[in-house]
Amino acid sequence: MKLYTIVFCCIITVICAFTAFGLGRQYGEIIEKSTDECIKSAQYSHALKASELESRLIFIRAKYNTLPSTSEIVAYAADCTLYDKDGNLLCGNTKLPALPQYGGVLLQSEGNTVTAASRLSNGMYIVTEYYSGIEDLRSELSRQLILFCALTVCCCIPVFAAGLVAVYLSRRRLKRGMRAAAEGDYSVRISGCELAGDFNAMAQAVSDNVVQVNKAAAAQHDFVANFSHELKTPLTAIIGYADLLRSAELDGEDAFIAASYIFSEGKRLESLSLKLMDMIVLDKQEFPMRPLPAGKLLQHIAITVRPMLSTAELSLEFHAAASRIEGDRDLLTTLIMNLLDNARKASENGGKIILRGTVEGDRYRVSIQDFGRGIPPEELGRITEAFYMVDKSRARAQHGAGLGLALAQRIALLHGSSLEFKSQPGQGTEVSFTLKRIPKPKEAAENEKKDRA
Amino acid sequence: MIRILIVEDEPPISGLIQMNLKRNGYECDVASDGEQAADKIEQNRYDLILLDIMLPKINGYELIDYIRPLEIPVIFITAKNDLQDRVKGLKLGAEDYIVKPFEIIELLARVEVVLRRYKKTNTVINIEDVSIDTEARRVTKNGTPVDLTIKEYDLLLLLVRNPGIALFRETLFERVWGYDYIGETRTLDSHVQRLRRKLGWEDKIKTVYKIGYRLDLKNGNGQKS
Repeated sequence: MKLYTIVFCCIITVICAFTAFGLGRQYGEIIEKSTDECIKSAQYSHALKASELESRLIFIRAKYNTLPSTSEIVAYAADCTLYDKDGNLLCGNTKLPALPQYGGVLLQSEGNTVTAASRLSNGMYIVTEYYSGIEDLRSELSRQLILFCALTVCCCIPVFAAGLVAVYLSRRRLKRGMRAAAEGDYSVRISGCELAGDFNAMAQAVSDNVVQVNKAAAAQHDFVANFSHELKTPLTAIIGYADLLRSAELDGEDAFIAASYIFSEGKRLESLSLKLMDMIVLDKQEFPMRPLPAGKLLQHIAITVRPMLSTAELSLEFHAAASRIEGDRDLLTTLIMNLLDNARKASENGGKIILRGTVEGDRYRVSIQDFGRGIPPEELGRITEAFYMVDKSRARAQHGAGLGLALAQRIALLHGSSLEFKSQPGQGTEVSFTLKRIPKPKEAAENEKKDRA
Repeated sequence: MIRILIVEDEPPISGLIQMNLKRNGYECDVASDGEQAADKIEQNRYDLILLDIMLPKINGYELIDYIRPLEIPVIFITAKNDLQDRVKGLKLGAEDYIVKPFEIIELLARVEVVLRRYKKTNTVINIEDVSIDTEARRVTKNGTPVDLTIKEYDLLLLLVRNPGIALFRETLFERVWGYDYIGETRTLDSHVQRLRRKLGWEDKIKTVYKIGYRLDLKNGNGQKS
C-alpha cells in the first residue's frame, strides 16, 4: 500500500516535471520564431518606409535638382522618426538605438516593439517602430507555464498527502487489529482501509476456528469429567467391597451383598467400556454405505429381539414396507437394537412396542414407539448427550451407562439423518430417523419419464 | 452412639460406607437424594454427615447451606478432583472432603478425625486392660504408663480403630510410614513385635499369614460411645 502510493506519486511528479520542461522549451522556440518573424516583418516595413522616403528624395532631387529641405522631408516622413546626420532628433519619438551604416538596417527587438534604423542617402537616420507583441506573448506563455506548474503542484500535493495519510491510518488500524488478535480478541474488525476486507476475513476465519476448537475442547472436557465420574463410582464400590471381603470376616448376608455389588458394578463397567469402544470405532472408521433391503433388515431385528422382550412380557408389533435403502447393516442393527432396548426399559411389563418402516418420498423412515413413561419435554434436548440420564437411579438399576442414545445419534448422523423424538410423559415415546432410499430400476425409469413429460 | 447420615445417590457406595461404619460401631442412616436428606436432617439428630455433591433434586452445595446453621460437621464425597470443587466445598463449610475412588480405611480415618475435632468421640479409648488417651497420646496398661515410640503409637491406634479387620502390610505401611515408604519389610514386623511385648498383647495382635496383622478382641467390635 505504502510503496504503491509512493511510486504513484513519484511517477506523477516526474511526468509533471518533464511536461513543464518540455512546455518551457516549446514556449522558448515559439517566442524565438515569433521574434524572427517580427524582425523580418519589421525589416520589411522599415524598408518600405525608407525606400518611400528615399524615392521622394530622389524625385525631388531629380525634379528640382536640389535637396529637399529638412522641413519638407519631415513632412513626408509620417509615422517614423528622423534624425539628422549628427544624430539630432528631427521628428518622431523613437530612440535611435545606434548609428547604422549606409546600406544596412539596424534591428533591435525590445519589449513589444522592434526598432529598425537605417541611413538615408542624404545622411539622415530613419527609425521605424514595429509592434511585435513578443513581450505579451512571452508573458502570456510564462503565465501559462506557471499556471500549469501551480496546478500540477496543487493536484499532486493533496494526492500525495492523502496517500500518506491513508497509509498511516491503515497501518495504524491494521496494527491495532493485529495487536488485539494477538492478545486473543478475535472479534476485532477494522474498516476504512484497503486491507480491511482481507484482515476481517482472516480474523473471521481465525475466530470461527477458535470458537470451534473451544466448543470441541469444552465437549471433550465434559465428556472426560462425566466419564471419570461414571468410572469412579463403580471402581470405588468394587475396590471397597473387595477390600472388605478380603480383610474382614463378614457374615453371610453382608458377604452376599458385597459380592452382588462387585458383580453388578463390574457389569456396569463392562457395559460402559463396550459402548465406549463402539463410539471410538465409530469415530475412527469409515463405513461404506451399501444397498440393503429395509423390510428384511427390520424383520431380522424383530425376530432377534422378540425373545428378549417376551421375558419382560412385552409384545412387539411390526410393520415394515419393502424398500431398498442405503446404509451399513451392522451399524443400523446396533442403532435399532439400542432404540428397542430403550423402549423396553421405558415400558411397563405387559406393554407393547411398535417397530415401523414407512416410505416417505425418497427417504425411508424407521420409527420405534413405546407406551411407557415418556420423557419430560425439558429433558428432550439433552438426552442424546453422552452420559446424560433422565432418571439416574433407574438407569443404574438397568446397568445403563448413559451412552446408548449418544451412540444411536452418531449412527443416525453417519446415515445423513438425526433422531427425532415425540414424547408425552406418561403416554410414551416415539423415536424415528430416516434413511436414503435407492429407487428400483423400474421406479427410476418411471421417474425419468415423469421428468421428461 | 454416634449417628452418621450418608447422603449418596449410588446405592453401591452408600451400602459400602454403611457396612463399614456399622462394623466400627457407628449408627448409620442413608438418604439417596437431597430432598430426602433435608427431611432426615430436620427429623433426626446426627453427629456427622457424609455428603455427595452430585445429587438429584438438591445438590450437595445447596444442602450444605441448609446444614451449616445446625453445626453438624460435613465431609464431602466427590468424584470431581478439581481443586476448584474442593476449595468450594471447604469454603462452604465442609470439614473435609474425600475423592472417589477412596479406600474405606481412609474414609474411617477422616470420620474419626472430624468427630474428634468436634469432641464427639471419647478422647480416651479403653480396650480390655489398655487405655489410650488420644489427646495426650499416652498409653497405660492397668494404670501403668507404657512407653511407645511415635510409630508404635500410630500402629496401635490403627489396629485399635479397625478391630477384627485384617490390615494388609501395604496398608499399614501407607498409614503409619507414609505413602512413599519403601523400606525393609522387617521394620513393620519388628515394630509389631515390640508393640506386642510392651502391651502383653501377644495373643491379641494376630499375624494373618501372607497378608498382615489383625487385632482380635473378645467381643469382636470396637467400643465407641
